[in-house]
Amino acid sequence: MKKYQKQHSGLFLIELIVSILFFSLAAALCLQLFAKASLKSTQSTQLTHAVLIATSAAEAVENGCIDADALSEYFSEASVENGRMRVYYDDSWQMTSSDDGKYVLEVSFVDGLESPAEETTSDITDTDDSKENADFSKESTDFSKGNADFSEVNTDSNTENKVFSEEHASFYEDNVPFSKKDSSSGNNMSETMVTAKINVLQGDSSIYELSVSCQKGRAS
Amino acid sequence: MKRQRSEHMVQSLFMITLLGLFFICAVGVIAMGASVYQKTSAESSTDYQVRTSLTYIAEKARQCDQGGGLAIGTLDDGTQALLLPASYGDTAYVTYIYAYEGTLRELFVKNDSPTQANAGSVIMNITDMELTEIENASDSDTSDLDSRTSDSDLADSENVLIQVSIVDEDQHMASVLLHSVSQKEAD
Repeated sequence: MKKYQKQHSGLFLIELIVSILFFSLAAALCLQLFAKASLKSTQSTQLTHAVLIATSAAEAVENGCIDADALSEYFSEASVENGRMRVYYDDSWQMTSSDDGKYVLEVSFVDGLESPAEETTSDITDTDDSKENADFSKESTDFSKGNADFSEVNTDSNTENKVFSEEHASFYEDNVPFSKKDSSSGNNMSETMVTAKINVLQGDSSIYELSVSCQKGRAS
Repeated sequence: MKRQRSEHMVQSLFMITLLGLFFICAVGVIAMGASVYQKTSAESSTDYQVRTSLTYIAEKARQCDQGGGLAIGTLDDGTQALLLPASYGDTAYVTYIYAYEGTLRELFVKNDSPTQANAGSVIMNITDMELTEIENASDSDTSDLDSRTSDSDLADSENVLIQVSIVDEDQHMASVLLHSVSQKEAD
């Protein structure tokens, strides 16, 4: 009888240990998924706000702010250094001073027109290096003809990027160099264009990038 | 006999402890899962509210804005609204986008028609919406821009941006700037 009791108790113990091992395995997998879900959720929120901020900056550029000083007039906490405007945002994406800033909106201007296709290609290389940044999107917008092309591409897939590049290359071919070809009028479009590079950063990593090409002549 | 009893007690205690540990871990994992789900769901809901409403307003503004008509105005009862004028044939219409009773609404009426806030169609639920006109202090610097472009093709738009801010359920504010297309751009 005693032997039976002892055996029964041992079996129950083994069963319990096996259950706990199985549970630990399941719990570890669940925790991993929870952590990923939380990260994705945070990234999604960051991307949402980054897109809104970058779009706001693009609208301001489109409104005629073709240099950092003019653009900084629209952002109360903006600072301008070396022709580059920086605005800091806190955790809740409200403008703040640089001390409390977690995110940065950085806008720099370059004269002339930059090919969005080239930029995208270089970005593929960048995003390949870091899988973490692969979820962030890149947008290239050409306002030169009042055409707000907000097509977006997820840099997760190189194939998508290539398609995007080709589409953008053709868009670029169709729209911008048209004016370049129009040399008979003596008016080279690239000389009258300015490109604003808008970048929303967290620390050193980019959350969202946007290029806006604007014709100087359209500035008010 | 005493030793056997003691052994039995230790075994029982060990099993009960193990069972307790199992129970605590199980509840912990479920609680953590619930917390993550709650957080994700709340953030997703806020993102949806902010992103959808602001994107809707921005796209509507780009779609309807004809020649610098984008403006901030009020309805008959004083509710602040974003005005998007449009003309079809000889008739002038205005689209009002505004927040009323926790909802984003849109009202499309003839220019001189009465505008009641409750008459608009509900787009989606939002907590609040604020509209602010932001003027560029460097308006007077336009001469500088003139000098940068030889054959100046300067547009006649007023250097004003409209800031549309949406307040979410957690009282966080997200905003986007909208610029009004000038008459020259529209042409």
